[in-house]
Amino acid sequence: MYKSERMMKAIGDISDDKIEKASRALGYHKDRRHTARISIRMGRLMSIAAVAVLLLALGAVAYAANFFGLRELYANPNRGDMPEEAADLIVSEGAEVKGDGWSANVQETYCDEGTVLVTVHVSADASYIVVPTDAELDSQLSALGLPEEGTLREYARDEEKTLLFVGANLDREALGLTSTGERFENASPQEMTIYVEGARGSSTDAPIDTICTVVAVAWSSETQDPDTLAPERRELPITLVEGKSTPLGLYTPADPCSLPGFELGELSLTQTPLGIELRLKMKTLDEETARNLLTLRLDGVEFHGAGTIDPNGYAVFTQGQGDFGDSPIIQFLDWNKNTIAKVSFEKTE
Amino acid sequence: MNDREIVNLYWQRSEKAITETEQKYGRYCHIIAYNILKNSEDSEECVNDTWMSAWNAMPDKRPDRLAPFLARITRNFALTKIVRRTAKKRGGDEAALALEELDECLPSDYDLEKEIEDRELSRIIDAFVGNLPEEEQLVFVSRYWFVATEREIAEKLGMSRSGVSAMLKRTRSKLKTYLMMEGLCTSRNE
Repeated sequence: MYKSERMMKAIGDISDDKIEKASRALGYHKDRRHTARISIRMGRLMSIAAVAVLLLALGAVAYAANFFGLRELYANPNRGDMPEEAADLIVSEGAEVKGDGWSANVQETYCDEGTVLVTVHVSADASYIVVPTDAELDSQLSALGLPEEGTLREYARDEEKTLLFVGANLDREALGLTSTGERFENASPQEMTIYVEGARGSSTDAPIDTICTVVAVAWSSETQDPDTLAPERRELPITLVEGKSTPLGLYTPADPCSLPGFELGELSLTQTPLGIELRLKMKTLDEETARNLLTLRLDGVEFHGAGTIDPNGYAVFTQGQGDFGDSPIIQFLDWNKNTIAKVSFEKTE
Repeated sequence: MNDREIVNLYWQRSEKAITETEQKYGRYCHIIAYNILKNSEDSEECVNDTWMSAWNAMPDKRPDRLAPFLARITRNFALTKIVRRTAKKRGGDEAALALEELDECLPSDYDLEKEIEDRELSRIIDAFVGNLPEEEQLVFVSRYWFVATEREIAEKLGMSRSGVSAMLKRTRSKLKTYLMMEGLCTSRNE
């Protein structure tokens, strides 16, 4: 073995935190921990580049979803003002379940042909600190929006409290979900809101009776082995009424090869209750070049790739508001938001 | 699905573990392999090997952090492939370039195999990297762990390419000195 190869192998053994830090800096693997209490968890936002890699490497499979929760509908600049159609579809729910010293209730739900959103509020008694299911014992308290210094483990020990890791899941099968995910927001150590989102590819006219499962695991400093802990599962019944979408048109690119690293195909715009949804066929020709691509902009509105590939092979993007006409021009942007290419599309039907 | 739940699936010998792992970490591991191999087919093979290796490792292992656990496996598979490839013809790709750069950290008369166990070398390099300033650590790990190009590192970290290149050169020089100070090797003049 060459000595440099042995060096390379030894470098491979550096500690996990150094690897994770660099992978975050390079954008290879987004941090699943919280960066701020009320910030959108960008770590869950998949880039167009990720879609491209998926198209090439994984085929048409689901991946992590774009997360925006009902709360963000009101403030998301991509979607503009809350559409009336979407507001009408938000249902305030009252279902509540109780666990051992904690409770959870569904606050709001929303459903259309492509998206399901459910907001779950969790509260616990003073002996608990409620934390997201994907937090770790060594996660910083500041990342949860708590003013204290230190880690969850230290805080639980010092305060003599039990950590309650909580998450919520939707029924993938019943809702026809291709991907799901959660976003968390702590209002206090004993209160947390979970925004659950699912991307769907099916439609039904009838109301959908389904469940949202809340999973909680308690950990205290006396319980040294997290692997022995048993999760508590509670099912929240929800009824979803689906909002309908209207196709706006199909468009073809003037030059399918004008975006470096890709071959572009058909663009589809659909009016959903949340806004205009953009779907685009993108075939990756060169992975490294493709990775430079972050997002796309249409008439000043940015659309983020959610990482979902629909059954027809389109990459699905977030919704936006606007009148994009019969000859839209899409700007493709890199990680510094510089324009890589401008591509004209023409309406075909 | 969080890492803990995925690991539990491995322990339950549920094949869903691999599906979930692929969905969550497929892109990540593919990038790691592709950086080294620059070949989609080989990278995909490494990623698939990673899932199988993870399947075979759990149980008994129960990794705390799945991302670095899988990343290490992918990197090892990719390096094994590249070593085989470069054994036939050294040079010509990013991993070979990174290997050549690291050659300078050890004096040419140093027989590493005789002097030190791999584990000890790993420990010392980890300590060295841990003592680097934040930015320098990111650049070093990006280059020699992830085998990212200098151009990519410059773009992602907001530096100039020449700045990255100069920083890496300084770090390699420091590493060489550090290894000497640790008594792992002696300079030619001694």
